Amino acid sequence: MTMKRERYGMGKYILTIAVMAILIVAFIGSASQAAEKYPSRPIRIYVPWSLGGSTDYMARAIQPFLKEVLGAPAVIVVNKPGGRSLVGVGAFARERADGYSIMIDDAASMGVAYLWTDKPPFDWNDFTALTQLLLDPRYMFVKKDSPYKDMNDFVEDARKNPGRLSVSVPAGSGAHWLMAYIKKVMNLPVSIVGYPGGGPASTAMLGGHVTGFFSEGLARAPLRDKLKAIGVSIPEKGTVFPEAEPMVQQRVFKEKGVTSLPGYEAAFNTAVLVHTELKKKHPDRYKKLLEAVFKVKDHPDFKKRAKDLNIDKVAVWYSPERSEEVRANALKDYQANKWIIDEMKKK
Amino acid sequence: MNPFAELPVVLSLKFLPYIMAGSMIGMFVGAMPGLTSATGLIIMLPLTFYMDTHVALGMLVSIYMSALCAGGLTAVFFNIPGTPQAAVTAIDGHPMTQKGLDNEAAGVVIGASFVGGFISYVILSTFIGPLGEIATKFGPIELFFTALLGMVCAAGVKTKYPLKGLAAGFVGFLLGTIGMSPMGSIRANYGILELMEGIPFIPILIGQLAMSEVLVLIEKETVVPKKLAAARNFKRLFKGIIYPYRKPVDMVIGSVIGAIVGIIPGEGATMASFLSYSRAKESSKRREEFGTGIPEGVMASELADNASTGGGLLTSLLLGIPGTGSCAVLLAALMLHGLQAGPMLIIKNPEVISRLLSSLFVANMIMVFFAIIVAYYIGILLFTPTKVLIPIITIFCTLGAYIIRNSVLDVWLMFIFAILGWWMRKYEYPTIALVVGLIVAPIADAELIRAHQIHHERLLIAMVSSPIALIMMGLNAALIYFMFRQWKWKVEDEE
Repeated sequence: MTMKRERYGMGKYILTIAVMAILIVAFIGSASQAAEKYPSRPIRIYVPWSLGGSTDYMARAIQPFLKEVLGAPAVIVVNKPGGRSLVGVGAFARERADGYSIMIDDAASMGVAYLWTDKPPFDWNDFTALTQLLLDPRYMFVKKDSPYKDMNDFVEDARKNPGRLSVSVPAGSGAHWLMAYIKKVMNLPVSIVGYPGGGPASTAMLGGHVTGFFSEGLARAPLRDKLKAIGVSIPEKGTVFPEAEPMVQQRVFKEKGVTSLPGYEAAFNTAVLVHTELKKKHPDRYKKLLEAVFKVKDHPDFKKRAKDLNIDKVAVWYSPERSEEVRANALKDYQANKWIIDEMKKK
Repeated sequence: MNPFAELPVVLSLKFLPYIMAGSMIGMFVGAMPGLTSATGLIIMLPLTFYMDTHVALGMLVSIYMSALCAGGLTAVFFNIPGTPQAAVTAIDGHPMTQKGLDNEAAGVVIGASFVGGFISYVILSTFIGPLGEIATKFGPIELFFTALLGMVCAAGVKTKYPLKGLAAGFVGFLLGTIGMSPMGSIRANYGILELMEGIPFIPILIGQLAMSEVLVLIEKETVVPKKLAAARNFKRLFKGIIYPYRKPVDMVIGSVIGAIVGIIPGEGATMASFLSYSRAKESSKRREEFGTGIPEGVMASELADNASTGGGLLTSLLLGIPGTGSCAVLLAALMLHGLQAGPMLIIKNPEVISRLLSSLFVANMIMVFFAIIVAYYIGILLFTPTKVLIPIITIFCTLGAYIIRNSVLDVWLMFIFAILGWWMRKYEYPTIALVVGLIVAPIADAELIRAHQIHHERLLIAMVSSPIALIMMGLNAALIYFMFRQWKWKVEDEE
C-alpha cells in the first residue's frame, strides 16, 4: 500500500475526497430542501400524446408561466405518446400523488381510453380537474392545394374510390372516436390511420401519406398556409378556422339524415388534471397548484402569448366544479355510445 | 435558416460557461482510452435535466465535438486511440511522435478537427432546412425501411462478425417491441406495470454504452500503464494547427467525405476517417510514405472524423434514427426536454436547431483552446487512477438511469444491461447495435402498422411502388451482402 501511495501522491487522494465531498453536500442539500417547501423539485406535466398536438401545444404554452408563478426549479413537459394514450395516462396514474406531476388531457380521449377494455389501467375518479382549459371543435383538414372544397367533395370522391382515401387521427382520441362514427353513419369507405398524436398525424397529411386529417383546430393554427379545414364537428362555425362549414349543414350529411354528431359537444375538452388523492394527502399543495393555474390565466405576458398562439379563441378556464361536470357528462355520452368503440376496434 | 442569428445568445454568460464545461468534459473522456464521447454525454445527461433546453443541447454538442478531437491526441502520443474513431489517426500520428514530431502531429489533429468541425457546421446549417422538407416525404413505408437500415448499419459497420452484429441488433429490436403496441394491446410485459410503456431506452443506453465501459475499466489500475512526461513547444504546435490550410484541396475533400459518410447511421465517424485516409493515400504523390508518419495521413483522418458529426446530427434530428452512441444520447436529451426529433422539429422549433448550430460553431472554436491545454498536460490527465474515475462515472450513470422516471426498476435495468454489455464487449458483439435496435423498433413497428392501415391488402404493391422505400430496401440488402462478403474475406485471410 505504501508503494502505491507514493506513486499516486497525496494530491490524488485529496482530489478524490474533494469530489466525493462535493457530491455528498449536493445530495444532502437537495434532500433537506425537499422537506422544507413545495415545490422544490421539477414539476412534470404529463402529455399522453406526442409533440405538436393541441394538448402538447397548450402544455408548452403554460409551462414557463407555471414555473414562474409556482416558483418551481423547473416545469417539464413529458410527452408519453403511444398505445392510444394509455401509456401516458397509465404512467401518470402510477405517479405519486405529491403534486410534482400533473397531466393535461382531453376528457373525450380519456373516456375512450377508459371504456376501451373491461380492465382499464386507471380509474375514472383517480384524477380530478383543476380547470378545463379549452373547448375546441374537431375539423376535417386537407392540404391547402387539395381539390376538395368541402365535405361534399371529400365524401363523394371517397365513395367513387372505395378504400383509396385515408384519414389520419390521433389514435384512440375523441377525434378518432368521432371519425369512426362519421365513417359508420355516412357509410364512408375510407381508411382511418392512427398516429400517437395530432403532431405526427398532421405531418402525415401534409407529407401526402394520407388524404385527410381529423382533429381539433388549435395546434393547426400555425399551419394555416399549408392546410385548410373543410368541415367542423359542431353545428355552428369554429373560432380557429371560421371558414369551415359545419358538417351537419353540408349536403352529404343532410342526405344521410345526420343532423348532429355525438360526443360531449363534439369537441376537444382539454383539462389540467391532478391525482384525486392529492386533495386529501396534501391539501396545501392542491390549493397552491389550483391558484397557480388561475394566476397563469391572468398573467399579462401569458395573455399576450395566448393571443399570438390563438389560444384565447378556444380557452374557457372553467372552475374545478364546472370542469368535473363536463368530464362526467363526457363519460356518460361515451358510455351511451359504446358501440362506436367497437367500431374503432374494427380494421 | 440563418446560422448566425443565435450567436449573441450562445456567447452570453448564461450559455458560454456550459459550452466551455462541455468542451473540458469532452476532452477528458475523449483522451481517456476506454471512455467514448457517448460516456461523456451520458455523465452529463442527469444534469441537463435542470438546465434550459438550449443550454443543455449546446453543452452536449460541445462534449461530442471535443471528445472526437481529444481521441486523436491520445492516438498520436501513445498509439492508443482515445475514442474508437481515432484509430485511423494513430496510423500516421504515432510514427510522427516517434520521429520527434509529436508537437506538429498534435497540432495537425487540432487544426484538422477544427476545419472538419467547421465544414460539418456549414453543411448542417445549409442542408437541414431543405432536407427537412424532403424528410416529410418519408411516409410509413419509407420510415419502416429506414428504421431497419439504421439497425443493419449499426450491426454491420463496426463488427468483425456480421452475424453477431445482426444478433445484437435483433435482440434490441425484440426488446423494443415490449410494452404497449401502437393500437393499445399489451405485449410481453409479464405483468410488470412499469414495462407497459415499453423498455425505456435511456437506462439501456447508459448501461450498454457507459456502465459496461466502467466494468471493463475495473480490470485496470490506471487507464494508461505508465506516466508520460510531455514537454510541448507552442511554436511547433501552431505550425501543425495551420497545416491543413496549406493543403486546401485535401482539406475540403476530406471534410466532405466525412460529412457525407456521417449521414449513414452506425459509427459513421470510424468509417469516415478510414475512407478519407484511403482516399488521401490513393491520390497522394507520397503514397508509400503513408503509415510512416506524415501529416497528410493524420489530417485526412481527423478532418473526416470531426466532419462526420454534422451528418450524424442530420439523420438523428430529421428522422429520429441515431447514427452513433453520442447521437442516441442527444436524442435522449431532446426527449428529456420534451422535444422529439423528426421533420416537425425544424418546422415547429426552429430556434432549437438554430441554437444547436450556433453552439456547434462556438464549441468548435473553444475546442481548439482546450485541445492545446490537453496537449500540454495529457500525460497527467491519463494517469487519473481508475479508483477515482469509476465511482464518479458509476454515480452519474445511476443518477441518469433513475432521474428519467424516478423509477428504481430503471436503475436495475441499467445494471443488468451493463453486465450484458460487458459480456458483449468480451465476445465482440457490438453494443451500439442493441441500443439502435431498441430505439428503432418502436418506429418500425408503428410505421408498419400504419402502412397496413393505409394500404390494407395492397401493402406489398405499395412497398415496391415507392422509390424511397426501394432505395432503402436496396441499401439494406447491399449492406448485408457486403458485411458477409467482407467477413468471408477475413476468414479466408486467417486461414
